[in-house]
Amino acid sequence: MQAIGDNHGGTGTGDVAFLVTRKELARDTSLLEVEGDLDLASAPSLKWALADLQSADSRHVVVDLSRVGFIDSTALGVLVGAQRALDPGVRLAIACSEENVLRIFELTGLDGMFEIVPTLQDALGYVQGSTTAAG
Amino acid sequence: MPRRPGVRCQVAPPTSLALVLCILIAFAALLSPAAADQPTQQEPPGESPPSESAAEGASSGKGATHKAERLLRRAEHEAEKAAKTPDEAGGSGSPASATHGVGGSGTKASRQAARAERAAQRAARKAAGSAPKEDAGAAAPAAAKGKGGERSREERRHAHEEQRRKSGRESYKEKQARIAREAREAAEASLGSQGSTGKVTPPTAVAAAGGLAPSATPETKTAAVGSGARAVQGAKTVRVPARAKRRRHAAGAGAASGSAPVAALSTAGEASAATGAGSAAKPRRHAGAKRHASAARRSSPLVTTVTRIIGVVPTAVWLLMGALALAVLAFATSSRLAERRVRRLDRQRRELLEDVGLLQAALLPELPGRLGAVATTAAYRPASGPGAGGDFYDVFALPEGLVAIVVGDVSGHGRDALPHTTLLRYTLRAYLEAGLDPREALRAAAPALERQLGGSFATVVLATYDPRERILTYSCAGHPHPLLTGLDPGEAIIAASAPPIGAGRPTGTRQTVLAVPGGALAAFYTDGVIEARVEGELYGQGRLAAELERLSSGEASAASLLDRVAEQTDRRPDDMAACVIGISGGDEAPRIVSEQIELDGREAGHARASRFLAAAGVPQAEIGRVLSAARAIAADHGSALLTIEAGEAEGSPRLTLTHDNVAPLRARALARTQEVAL
Repeated sequence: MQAIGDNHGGTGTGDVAFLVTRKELARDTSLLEVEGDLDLASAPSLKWALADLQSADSRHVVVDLSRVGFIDSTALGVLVGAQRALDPGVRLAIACSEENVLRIFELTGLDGMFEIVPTLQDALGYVQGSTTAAG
Repeated sequence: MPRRPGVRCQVAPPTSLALVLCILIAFAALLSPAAADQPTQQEPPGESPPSESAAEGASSGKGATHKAERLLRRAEHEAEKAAKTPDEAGGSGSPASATHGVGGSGTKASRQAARAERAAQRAARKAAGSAPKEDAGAAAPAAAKGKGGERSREERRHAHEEQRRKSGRESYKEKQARIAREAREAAEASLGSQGSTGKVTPPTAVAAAGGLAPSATPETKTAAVGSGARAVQGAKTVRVPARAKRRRHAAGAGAASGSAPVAALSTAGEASAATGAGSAAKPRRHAGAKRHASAARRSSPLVTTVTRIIGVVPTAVWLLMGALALAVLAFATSSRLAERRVRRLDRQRRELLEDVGLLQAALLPELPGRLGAVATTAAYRPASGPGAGGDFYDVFALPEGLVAIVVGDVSGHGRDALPHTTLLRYTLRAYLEAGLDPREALRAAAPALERQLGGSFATVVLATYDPRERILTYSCAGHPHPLLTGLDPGEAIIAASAPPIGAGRPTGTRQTVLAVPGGALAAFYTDGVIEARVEGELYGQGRLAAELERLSSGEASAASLLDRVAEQTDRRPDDMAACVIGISGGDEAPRIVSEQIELDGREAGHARASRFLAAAGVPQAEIGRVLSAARAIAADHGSALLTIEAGEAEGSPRLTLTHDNVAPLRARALARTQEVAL
């Protein structure tokens, strides 16, 4: 799979830099690589990146949170909103192996709402595999 | 028509006033110097022609006019000087020095006065000796005459007496007048003796000597001053308006008095002629001359005056005025901008205060301080940035002595979050007051709330404390578990937590029951507290629990807890809210009595449920069996409610599965409880 296009957007969150990078992958999949802390300050960037994806066309979304050290309720709300706005047949997967983030997902009870897998490959396999199965 | 954004458009009325003021100031500043250059001759309509004129210039050319005026002014100066020390008579001075000595001393003035007198006498003699002519009003190059000597004298006397009658203060003036009159009479006597109209010989220069007749009656006042100078080149008749009548005598050359006085100026080239004439009368002429000039100016229409003024305003003054006007404009503009800014800030401040008022009403209910045996405190610290708003709490009494606690956090911040916080707070309170357990209340309220949250979601913890049973029951929806002193925070099972309200998934699926046999503090808080930063790190639950333990020995209030958190953290991006309830009692530590989880078909098959069972101490071998039993119940009834009670000692926990966990009422739920033996 190759990167079709890059779209950079980011914001500073105090001491930790934040960056959202969008990559268009093959097989109708968009990848959002998130770097830094997902909190009140950076959540809007993630929100707009996800909104762009969803307004474009029906593409699967993989959100890579592997380089995210913290996620707060605002950012979780953004992910929840994106999940709930998915078109039928489109899937969203979260790649994350960071303990802190996983624990937050668990604490908030949202781990049951998302497909959270440890690696990016697993996430891509999930969204694209399901696409193949569905289509 | 498009309005050009000219600077003038922004000029406020005060600015226009200021501009006018500037012009007026410049006008005033220029008045004195301008008067020296301004032509003063006016011919007011309705002015009766002069009955007598000492001299009338034939030429009325401009140059001659100015010349005549110049001379007039000089003569006025002379008179002024002479008037300073009128009673002194000193030696004669040179005419030239008298003429040009503007700031002459008193002695000089007295000398001039004496000289003037002599000059007047000389002139009289000369006039008598020469061939003076009666003035017929014709334009003669120079004329010194008395018209109808007898009549004139009578009139003069009459006027003089009248004047004397009018003002008692004019003794000095009268003296002046007498001197002038004597001079005139001497001249006129000689003229009268000649008796006929004639022409003055060209070399004679005649200057008019001002009379002292403020009356309306035209008066002859002639002082013929002879000099060896050239003949009169041109003289201009200068008339002053009737207003001048009220003024005191106008003595000196060219001075005017009476309603229609005429000051005839000879444009004698010799300054001495004018000097002689001016000093002949020795009156105080200072005010007279100026008033004469200003009276003439005032009598003209304002427009004319302004136009003239504009004509003589120097460029430097224009520049100054322009600069002043610009400064005024700049100040006005900046003042206006500042005013608008002040208004805007004031409005924003009011809005902010209104927001705070709403927050106070919606989020900060008055706590009773103590509900039965339970001390209740709460505190709220809004974030200092855009994250403010969204947290809420409530503590209230329930029937049978129970105490209910609600702490929550709505996603979204600021004004938008306020309605949601209020909605949640009162809705959840209503369900709790209806008698539902915290989990049941959440379970029942969540669908209704989710519809009204409009895409937002909320994390919340609901709790009840039963002081009789010493049982604390709480249920979280995506919210941090409460902390209790004496209880390890890790004991609460995190796995398979219930999601927030509005996340699109059923919530109210978890409940924890704690026994609080002894005294303890229970802290309910929002995630803003544990997500505050200490040098980039999260403050965390561990630090908060430690702080709560320290708090238990001292001031046990939510406010002091948040104060300590604030002291230890350097960044608090989110609101912080906390409720602390103090349960009095002995040293026994609280313990978890039971954990409850509701499993639908999907949840029962998820890894979360397995983790939950594992965390609860269910042996791995049993987990599969329990979950399959739960799935069976969920298949029939929609969901299964699994309750895990901690076993005595280290034994395995007791599990209970019921099928009816969505019952809105406890009684119904209890009625349909079905125990599943494991």
